[in-house]
Amino acid sequence: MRETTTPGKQESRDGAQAVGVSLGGLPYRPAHSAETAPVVLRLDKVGVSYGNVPAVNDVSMDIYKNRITALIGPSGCGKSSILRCLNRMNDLIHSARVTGSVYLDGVDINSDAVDPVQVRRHVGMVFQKPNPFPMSVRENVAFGPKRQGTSGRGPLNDIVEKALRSAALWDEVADKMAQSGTALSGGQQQRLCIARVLAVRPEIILMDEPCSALDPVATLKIEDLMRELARDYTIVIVTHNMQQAARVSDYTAFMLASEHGVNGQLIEYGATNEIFTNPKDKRTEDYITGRFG
Amino acid sequence: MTALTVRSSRNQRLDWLQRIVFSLTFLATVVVCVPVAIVAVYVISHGASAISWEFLFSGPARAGREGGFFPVIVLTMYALLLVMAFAVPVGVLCAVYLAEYARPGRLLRLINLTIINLAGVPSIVYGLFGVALFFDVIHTKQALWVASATLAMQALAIVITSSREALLAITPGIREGSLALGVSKLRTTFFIALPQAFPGIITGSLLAVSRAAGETAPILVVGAIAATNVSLRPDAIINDRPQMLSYELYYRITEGLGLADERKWGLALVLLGIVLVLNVSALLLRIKIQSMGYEKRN
Ligand SMILES: Nc1ncnc2c1ncn2[C@@H]1O[C@H](COP(=O)(O)OP(=O)(O)OP(=O)(O)O)[C@@H](O)[C@H]1O
Ligand SMILES: [Mg+2]
Repeated sequence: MRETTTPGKQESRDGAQAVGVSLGGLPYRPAHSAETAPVVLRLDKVGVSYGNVPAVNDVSMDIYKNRITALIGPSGCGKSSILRCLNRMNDLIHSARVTGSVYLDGVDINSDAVDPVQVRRHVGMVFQKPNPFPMSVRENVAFGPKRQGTSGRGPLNDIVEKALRSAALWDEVADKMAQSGTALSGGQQQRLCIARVLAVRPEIILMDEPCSALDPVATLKIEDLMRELARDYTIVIVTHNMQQAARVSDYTAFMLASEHGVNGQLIEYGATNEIFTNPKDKRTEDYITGRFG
Repeated sequence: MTALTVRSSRNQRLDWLQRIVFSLTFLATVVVCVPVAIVAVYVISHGASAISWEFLFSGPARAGREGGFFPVIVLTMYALLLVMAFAVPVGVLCAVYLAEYARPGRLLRLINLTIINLAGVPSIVYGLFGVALFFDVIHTKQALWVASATLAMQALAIVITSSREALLAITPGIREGSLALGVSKLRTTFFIALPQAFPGIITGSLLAVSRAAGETAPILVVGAIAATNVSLRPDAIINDRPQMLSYELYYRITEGLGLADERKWGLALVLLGIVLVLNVSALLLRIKIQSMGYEKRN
């Protein structure tokens, strides 16, 4: 997508930010007035329905480059559904219908002209349950680059080592490269899955409850890793763990459904410290103080 | 804290129930295994003495009363290879479509049901269908090909069902993991799904072929119509009436005269041996592939 963005477009968007005027009919809503980072993803009235049931609708928000954005909210409010809109993973669910637009560097990824496979190269994803391929550690990481045309032992080894180092896994697996990825511990498997994504060099990494299957020590490791990765990547994370959102994220979006799994909505979105210390909406406050379902 | 409860009479009753259920399941397994073992032992003990180099590797003399059944054995192998060549590629492709690409819905359910039913159609129906299709519609006289294609139709149903099951049994998260890396659906199918399903596909295919080896009815029908004057053989094998093993055996038994019992059992043993080799290699291949893992692949 980056290649398709013209410099002119980039300028006009930065200009729009500076003066706070609308872009494409959208009022510009800064999540945090002091933010200087560019917007990499813009959600415009995004909704998802399954069959005829609207699971979540009308979510509009901007996601900033090299920031960690957390989606929080009770179970069934549509966090995963929204997250999967950001790399067209909902295409894989036959009953799912996505409405609205998601602009990646200014291009609507939902338009027919855009290839979802291309989108996913720019927006990688890490899942709730670690899902390493049943191959060696090395092959797990080399899989993406290979399928995208990198060949030769030398270049692949470099990519694999770099990705594993970035995922803070290299020291633990350097002598286990030929072992099966599925034989690692849960936390190692999840970092392997992160390394696998890093190896294809996306701009954005989506993580859907990446720590929910892990113990506290492994969780802290992944959180440290996320802070580290935010220097080079933009991260969007779904989490049930409010401490985690508070610890790790720069921005937090709170979502809520009127009833379980129906009509989920974005209630409040802003800088994490503001959401947690000074929420504007009563429902946000209730949720973060634990007075809620 | 209460101490561990002493076994109450209710617990003891449950205990007994467990034991009875366990015994029943064990018994059922025995009931299934024993006849198989008896058949195998019986065939071996009656047929083993007939097996010799000559029996396996030379042509018949005096209408099969002496000499061997080499042409029949070779023809059987030949036909089985053809069955595999017809059924496996088409069956696996079909399974890939059904498991990976077809949109779930009523139509897909109907197709799946149809395929399961195809596996259950009596083989004589396939025989009649094969004859009608190949002799009357396509007008071929190649009986070997017709017999193999007919057997392949039946094997196809088994190949499709087992391959489809193997594909559906893959952890779904693995496919998503690949797609989320920006790997296309086709490559995900080829590099993730198929390798994972490979052991299941191999096993299903070999079982389907080994079943085809034992089928008599389709061959009977094809043979009855074609064998009168058409050569049912690869050219190299010269014989007055080569047939597939299953049919040869049927023919020799119903013929009633001439052939010594020992030679009939010998034929049965050869057929059993082929089926056994196929099944055991399915098992070994599966174990080999699984233990090999993916470590050594590059
Ligand atoms: N594949 C699907 N098919 C049908 N309905 C679905 C599907 N996935 C989600 N839904 C519906 O959409 C609602 C929102 O689901 P989603 O997974 O987005 O919620 P969530 O906020 O991620 O919940 P959780 O915190 O439990 O993961 C669910 O309650 C469910 O009713
Ligand atoms: Mg979820």
